Amino acid sequence: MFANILTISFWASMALMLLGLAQRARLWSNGRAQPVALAKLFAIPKRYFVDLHHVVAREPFIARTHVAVAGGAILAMLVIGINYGLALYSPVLDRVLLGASCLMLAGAAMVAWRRLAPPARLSRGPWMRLPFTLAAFALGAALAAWYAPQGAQAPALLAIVLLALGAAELALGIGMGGPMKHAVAGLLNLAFHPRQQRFEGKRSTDLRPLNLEGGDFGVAKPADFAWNRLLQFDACVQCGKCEAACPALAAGQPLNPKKLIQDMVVGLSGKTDAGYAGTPYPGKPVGKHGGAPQQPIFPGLLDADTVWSCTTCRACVQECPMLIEHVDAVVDMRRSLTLVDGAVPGKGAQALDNLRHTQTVGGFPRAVRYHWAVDLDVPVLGPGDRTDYLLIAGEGAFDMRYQRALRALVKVLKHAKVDFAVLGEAEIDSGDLARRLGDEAGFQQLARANIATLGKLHFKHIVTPDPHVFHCMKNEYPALGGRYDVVHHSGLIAKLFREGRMRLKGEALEAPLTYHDPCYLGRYNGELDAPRDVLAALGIAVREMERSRERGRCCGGGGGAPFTDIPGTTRIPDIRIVDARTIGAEVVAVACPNCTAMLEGVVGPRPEVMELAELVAQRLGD
Amino acid sequence: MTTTLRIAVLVSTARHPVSGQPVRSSSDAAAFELGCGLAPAGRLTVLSAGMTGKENLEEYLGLGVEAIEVLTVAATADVLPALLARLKGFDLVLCGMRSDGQSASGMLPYLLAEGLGVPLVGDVLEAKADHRTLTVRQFLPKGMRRRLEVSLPAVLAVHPRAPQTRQYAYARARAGRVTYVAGAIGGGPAAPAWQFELATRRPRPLKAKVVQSGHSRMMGAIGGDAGARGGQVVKQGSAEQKAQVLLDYLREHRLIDF
Ligand code: SF4
Ligand code: SF4
Repeated sequence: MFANILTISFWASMALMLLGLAQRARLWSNGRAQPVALAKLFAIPKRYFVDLHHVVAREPFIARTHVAVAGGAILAMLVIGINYGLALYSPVLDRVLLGASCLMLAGAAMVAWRRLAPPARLSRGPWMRLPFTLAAFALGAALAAWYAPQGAQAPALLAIVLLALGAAELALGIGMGGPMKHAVAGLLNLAFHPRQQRFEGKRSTDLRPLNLEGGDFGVAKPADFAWNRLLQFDACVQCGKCEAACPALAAGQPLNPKKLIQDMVVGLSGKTDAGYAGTPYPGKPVGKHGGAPQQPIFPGLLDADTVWSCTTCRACVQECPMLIEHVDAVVDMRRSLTLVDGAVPGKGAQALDNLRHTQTVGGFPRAVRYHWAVDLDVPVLGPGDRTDYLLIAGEGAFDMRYQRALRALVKVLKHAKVDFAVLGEAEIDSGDLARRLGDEAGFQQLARANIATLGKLHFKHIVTPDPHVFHCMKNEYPALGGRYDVVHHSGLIAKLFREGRMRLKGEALEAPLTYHDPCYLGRYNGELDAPRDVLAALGIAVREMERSRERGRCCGGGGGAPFTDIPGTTRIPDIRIVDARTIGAEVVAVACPNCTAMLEGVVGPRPEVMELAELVAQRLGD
Repeated sequence: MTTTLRIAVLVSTARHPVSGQPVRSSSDAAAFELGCGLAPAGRLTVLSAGMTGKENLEEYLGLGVEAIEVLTVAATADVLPALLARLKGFDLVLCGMRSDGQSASGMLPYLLAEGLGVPLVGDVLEAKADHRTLTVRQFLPKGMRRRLEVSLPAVLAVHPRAPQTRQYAYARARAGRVTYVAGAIGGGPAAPAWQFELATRRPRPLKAKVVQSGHSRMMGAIGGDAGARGGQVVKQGSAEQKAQVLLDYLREHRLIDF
């Protein structure tokens, strides 16, 4: 009798769950079509246990908690499904069920412990009831496993009530958008992730090119996202790891990546953000925004300054255990604002105009780009010439501060007798800024022009000191047909040291030095060791800041943020300098023109900012 | 209420001062934006005269101009007759103070107003319409502004500092249309035989007639009206006495009157 009830309720919850899934899938299907192979479903286990492991393992307690809860729950449901769903009623399986539910119960206790005094980044609201519903399910399953063989009636009722409570969380949670929808959406996201390359050990940080001829101008309404992106938003567990990493939020700008993803969920399901129970966008009250799949995102669902606050540093993406791609969403929305509405804030519009009219961000004549090299006798690569390394200076070449670093770099290259040349007047902007500001048309024009220029020249590698140019040419040009071997100057200098082509003189720098990882070098391209190798070769011991390497904090200079300049309560570079001062650094070494500009813009006492090439050039022997 | 006005906006191609690429003229773009404040962009008639291709007008399309009608006139010919013929019957003609690319003489608005027999308001910053009367804010140097009322029809020449918030958007530039209509020809001979030369980066400073040192020019400048007396260097005396000398000087030159 009891066992029969279990059988019936099992199938009832299964049906409910499938109904809910169908309901949710209907919402996802509002998105743009995107061919994804169903066969990828079989990849889920490997992706779950292997690819995800390092992200989740950063927080061992939560990782163990999740193993206990999810592992216990899945095993329990499996056993219930086999034993009761198929009406086997085997006592052996009941014992397995007992074990599984005890495991889950322990996990639920850990969840409850964590939720006693949750860190600020966690969302509350419905998530606070999770330990109870989980415990209810575990307890119900345990009671069922214990009493079912004995056929006892009184505790059985309790077991059923508890089981129903727990099952409702899962079964209804999916369809009604409760916290447990992450379980299904998260697994499906692993299968249908928009960046499949991430599971092949690649970084996959390039932005998707738009088909401008086909009228694809980015995302104006939630339904403009591809369906698997909508599915991905639903996977968010509101853990707030992205929030804790976000420099824009820390600076009090109106952005919180977690809320952004939750707002997309609101948009795809046609609700308002009144149910949001986490940290809001700084300075914006919760509950005033809402949306629907076919309604414009701006201004109903989001305010434009939210997406303009992002520096595209990918710190959030790096942290997210559900592999959500915040930056892609941000840039897609910017694209529509820029290409369709012509609504770029601050000096962004002027920068884009300049790029369109002069092919430089600052509106400079191209002829002056290499003025800093006028006395250095740097060869300009003409058609017919050959060189090993083509040096691309980037927009930093117009900046007096960065010219010092460029001169240092040229000295280093000459010292090591590297065969190199520059483009001279033929060099135009790489298009990185245009792309981050959503001006895909401008980017594609610049990139095509660059590819046409480079196609006529003979060189083996491209070297550049600007990580943004580096990323853009290395990772984003291939989609437009430009394939080059691009190296960052830190990588090249490290190689020169390894090959013993550098002769040093003098003493190593005494002052405590720290190294700031530029996002576009470290997180985007994984170049974390080369700059450190160079510093080590100089005999400098690097004091690491708390946020370093792949978890480094943005300097605030990426994504066009210095141009759009959305106000906050403080500035991102100020926060970064505080990071450096906290560990007592007197020198901050950087490897990026934009970082130098941003960090040197900090007023008050601050460590000296030195470019990597400058540190090397100081010590060059004869 | 105001959307019944027939408004024409004149635009022309300018050259970017650094790269020489075709760009929008700042005052023409401001004229278009001012027109958008008076009527929806779709109801404005946007005209250009000359022989410009779509790629040269894209910057305007990107601002939200839905269609531009180009009155084709030979490159050397005068655009005035073509514009006058086309502009008959419009309540309001908006244009920039001067073109940035062509002869840039700044005469066109005046000649248009004369030819159409309507009043002209120059250096316009803002305009509001009330039936057939426009309230116009005009730019004056040194931060001064003037409010005027003008009854329609009229020609408004817009100052480049008029508010410009519209930005270029690629999708708009792609969707915009350019149509070509043969412009009327006539009038007197075409533009005089212009001599073209490259603009120098900076205006050439006027040469001083007499070459003198800075100090002696200064002494001459602060001399008396007759120019006979040189300057006076006040070193002696108390602060009051020195101030008195200054005051006397200012009074003598009628620079203050108390
Ligand atoms: S987006 Fe990712 S990191 Fe941010 S709250 Fe959601 S699951 Fe956590
Ligand atoms: S990319 Fe950086 S700035 Fe943008 S949301 Fe993520 S963490 Fe914040």
